[in-house]
Amino acid sequence: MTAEFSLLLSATHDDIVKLYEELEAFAKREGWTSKVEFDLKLVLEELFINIVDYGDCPGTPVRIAFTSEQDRLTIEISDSGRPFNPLVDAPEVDTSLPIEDRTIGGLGVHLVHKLMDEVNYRRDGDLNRLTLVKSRNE
Amino acid sequence: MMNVKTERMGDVLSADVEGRIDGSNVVQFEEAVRAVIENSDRAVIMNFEKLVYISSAGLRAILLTAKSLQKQDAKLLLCSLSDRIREVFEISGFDKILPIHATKDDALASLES
Repeated sequence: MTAEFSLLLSATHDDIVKLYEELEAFAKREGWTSKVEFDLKLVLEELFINIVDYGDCPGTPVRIAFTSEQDRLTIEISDSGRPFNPLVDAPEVDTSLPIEDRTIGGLGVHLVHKLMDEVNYRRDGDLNRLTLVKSRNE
Repeated sequence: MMNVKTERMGDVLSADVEGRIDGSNVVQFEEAVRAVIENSDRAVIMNFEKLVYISSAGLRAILLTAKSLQKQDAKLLLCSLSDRIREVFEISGFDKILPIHATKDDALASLES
């Protein structure tokens, strides 16, 4: 059985609360495990804040569409910010460096890669479209 | 929602962090911690027993706290991480740069040896 759900946010810090609330309600309806819910909250917060902080598109719509299937969740985030492909444009994180050499950038996108099973990006006209896949069998 | 409750034990500061550290309250978290650390502190123990969520904004704040403590020859120790929170720290490689203890007592004991 497939359930679909989509969420329309605007690119402002205030809407992060709306993202959490809607995500929690959907997770409950769909019976996600607490791990899937935690990972998705984290990943979507990271990506949404990146759009708000670096997309140069204040107040414009950000659409997050979820397709929930038995074994996997697929999420597509579309925004009209400046072209940003997190697969290549984010600074790489070297997790082996000591404290004094660790830098603070790139951690969010690093977490997105590690917590999702698939991450795909395409530029579609004026939109960034990022697709995430998360297995529900963990 | 986020709350930091601190307790001073000589030159060791313990901070019990409750709730969530995310992009919306990370500044509040940083200020709460910075306000109580003293130059003479030898160590700060952050107790995450009641921490339910952390994002990269929170990780950055912890890294900056660790860096500034290192400059005064002090250590940052963490304890009582839930499985979820621990995974976030491991993925970020923070388990390699910060000592993580099972309990606050273990963290305190490690300072005595």
